[in-house]
Formats: sequence, C-alpha cells, structure tokens
Amino acid sequence: MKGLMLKELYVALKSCKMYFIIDAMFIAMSFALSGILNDSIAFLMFPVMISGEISISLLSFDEKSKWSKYSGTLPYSAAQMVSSKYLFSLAFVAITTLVTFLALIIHVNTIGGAELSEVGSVIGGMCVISLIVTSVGLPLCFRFGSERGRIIFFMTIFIAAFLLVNFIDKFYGLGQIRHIVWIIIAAVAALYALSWFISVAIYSRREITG
Amino acid sequence: MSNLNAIEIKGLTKSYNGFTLENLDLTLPGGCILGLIGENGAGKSTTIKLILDMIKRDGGSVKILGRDNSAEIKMIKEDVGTVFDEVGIPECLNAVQVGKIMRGTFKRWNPVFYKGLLERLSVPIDKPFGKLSRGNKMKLGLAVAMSHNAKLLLLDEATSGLDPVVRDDVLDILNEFTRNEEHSVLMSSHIVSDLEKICDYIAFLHKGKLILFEEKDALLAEYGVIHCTAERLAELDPAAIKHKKITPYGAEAIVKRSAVPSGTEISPVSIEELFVQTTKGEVL
Repeated sequence: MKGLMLKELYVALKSCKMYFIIDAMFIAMSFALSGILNDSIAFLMFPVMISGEISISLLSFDEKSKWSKYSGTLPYSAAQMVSSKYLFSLAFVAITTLVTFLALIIHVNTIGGAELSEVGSVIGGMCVISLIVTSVGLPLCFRFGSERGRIIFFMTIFIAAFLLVNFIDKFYGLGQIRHIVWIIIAAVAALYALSWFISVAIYSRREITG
Repeated sequence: MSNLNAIEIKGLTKSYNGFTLENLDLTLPGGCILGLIGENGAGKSTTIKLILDMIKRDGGSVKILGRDNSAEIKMIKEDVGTVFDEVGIPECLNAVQVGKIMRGTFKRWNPVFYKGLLERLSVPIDKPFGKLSRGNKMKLGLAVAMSHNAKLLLLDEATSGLDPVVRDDVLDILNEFTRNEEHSVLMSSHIVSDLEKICDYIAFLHKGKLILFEEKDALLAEYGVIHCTAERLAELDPAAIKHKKITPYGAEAIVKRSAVPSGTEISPVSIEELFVQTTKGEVL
C-alpha cells in the first residue's frame, strides 16, 4: 500500500495546492486582522473545517485522470484501495489540526484576546466535524462518484455545523464540550471505522467502468 | 511456445446496458500474441475487464497463467501489465514519481529496466503526464506495464490515436517482449493492420460474440479472394464461399482455398478485409 499512499501524497501536493494556500491565508488573517476584528482568532477554525474534504477532492482527481480504472489493474485489494483514502485523509486532518493548534498557541500568547481552552475546543470540534464529513462522504463517493459525493459533503457539513451550534450549544454549551471529549473521540473513531467497513464493501462490489 | 496457457476463457458471459458478451471461449497460448479485433462496442474492453476481474462475470471461467482469476486476482496482477487507451496515470505525476509509486506497488518492480526503457523510448522523465504527447503517454504506460517482470500484457486499444512511427515502436517492443517464451500479449484494437503485423492468433468479436478465432497464418493460408463474374461465382461450391459481393462490374468473394477448384486464381486476403467482410457484408 506504500505505492498508493505515495500517489495520494504526490497528487495532494501538486493538485491540492489550494488547500495549503487557503489554510495559510486563514492563519495569516487571524494574525493580520487582530487589530481590526475582535474575533479574528475565529479564522483559525476554517483550515480544520475544510480539511476533511481533501479525500473527496483526491477521489475526484482519480476519476478525472482515469486512475480509478487503471488502479483496478494493480495488485491491490479493495481494502487497500479504500484504506489509502482513509489513512491519507486522517493524516491530513491531523496535521492541519496540529498546525492550527500551534498557530492558536502563538496567537493567544502574542496577541491574546481569547482563552486557549475555549478556542481550542472549537478547533477540536471542527476536527470532529471534518472526520464525520470524511466518514459520511467517502462511502457515498465510492458509491455514487465524487461529483454527487461533493454535494452530499456540503450538505453534511452544513447539517453538522447547524446541529453543533444549535443543539449541543443550546442544551449542553460549547464551552462544556471538553467534559465529554473522550466520548466524542470514541464515537468519531467508531464512526470512522464503520465508514471504512462500508466503503470496503461498496468498493468490493462495484464494477469499474469507463 | 510455452506449455502453459496465458489465458483460458470458457463460457464467459456478461450482460449490461443492452449489451451481452455471449459464451466466450478463448485461449491464448503462452509465448504468443493474440489480437482481439472488433468494432467499437463489440466487447473487447469488456473482455479485458472481465479477465482482470474489474467487472463481475455472469457466467463462465477465466484462468490466467493457470490460476482462476476471481480467486487469486491480487497475485495474478503481479504477473500482468495493462495499458488502456487513456493509460490512467494522474496528470500531475512525472515518470520518476510514477516509478516510485510502482516500486511501492509491485513486488518485482525493476527500476533499472524501467529507467532504461524510458530512455530507449525517449520519454521525458521530468514532464508531468498531462503535458506529454499521446505517444509518450502510451510509451510511459507501456514502460510501467513491462517493468515488473510481467508475463502477460493486456493492451486495450493502446495503439489507437498514435502516429505510425510511434505505433511501430510499440509493436517492436511487443515483439521483443514475446521473444521470451513465457511472455504473452493480448492486444485489442480496431486498427487491424497493427494486429496483422505482430499477432500469432486472431479473434474476431462482433456484437458480443466470438465469430472467428484462429492462428493468423492458418487463417491467411485458408482464405483468399477471387474476382470473377457472377456466373462463375455461382458455379462454386457454396460451402467454399465465406463472403461474396456482387456488383454490375463483377463479383468478389472471400473463399476457402481448399474448397475451390485447382487452377482458380486466388489473391491473398488481408485480416482487415476478412474482418470487415465477415462482420459487415452478406455472409453465407
């Protein structure tokens, strides 16, 4: 599977440059606009929020270049083909979250204006949403293709954000989310694993056409 | 010629989208090149995808190098190199990156052979795949397919859209590949002249049915073309005539050489002529 992971990395570095540019832009804006906007630190949550979409972008590039068909001739199992997307997506979300946390620590210590724990919780929440989006989006993309999958992705992210803000915040309070953080992490891990199983089942049954 | 058959297909059937591949029986002996000829939509690509288990068959069996393709497909793919008409390499990758990816993919990847083949074929190694010419894309696909000690090459319309010089280069490489008697090639194309040049066996697919499968030399020795009057043609044994075309200016027929009277002037028939007339015209 080393070859598949390397391919994902090369394609992401070359074709998904926009992610890196947008991420850098949001982090830069959180610093640059701190004197103008009170909540400029909120820009730090966006890189994490959009990071879950990379798996769908990579699938879209695969379809466009006919790699989806060509990879069917290579000695990989369905589980390996699917795993490469899940592992790469997980690594990308994790690295983006880590970089954003580092930016947050620098921001709080140099500019201030927010509690590290409070903004950190929101970034953690965005990371959770990204992983939920990947978990929901990838099986749908494997089943219906990336074009329709991307639409579903945006619907999911909208619904998840709506629930987070209106349901959890109303009944529990976003500030209190850190008390159930381990439950959330376990639930997202379980969802991610379940999503992987479903994707493998879909991929094993699908017919490679085109 | 190797004793082991590279491909053994028995009763292969697949139906979808108003198309049916019907009860296909086909054998590619080891060390040989088989040309799969058919018009667009005849079932060539479907056959290749079924061989690779990329689509599920409705019936029949496929053995590759003696192994059942549905049970051992992952292992089998270590021995098979495939080139599709659009190759399928991501556009942003260059040949060096593709080599590194394939090194992590195939157990027997040979980077020295790959590099040598790219040099020999004059494929730019630092240019992204998307910026290569059609010919260089195909050559890169072929280099990948051949650099992991594959025993079987599957080429699906790999020479279509290439200029004659590049096509000739590709055919030379395939000829060299099959000098090793363990190596075999299944090549589908509707450019019949390419297949005629290099194939040992020829199979005609038409609307999902195998209508002819024979050794090329036997086929060319068996059939010929006669030009005569319609009256003279009518005197021939109908069983001798594979296809006939009668015009106000005379008659032309593809005939079995053995079934026409000796002394009849018979011209050689090309595979292309045989294919076109067998699938298109009035067939007896």
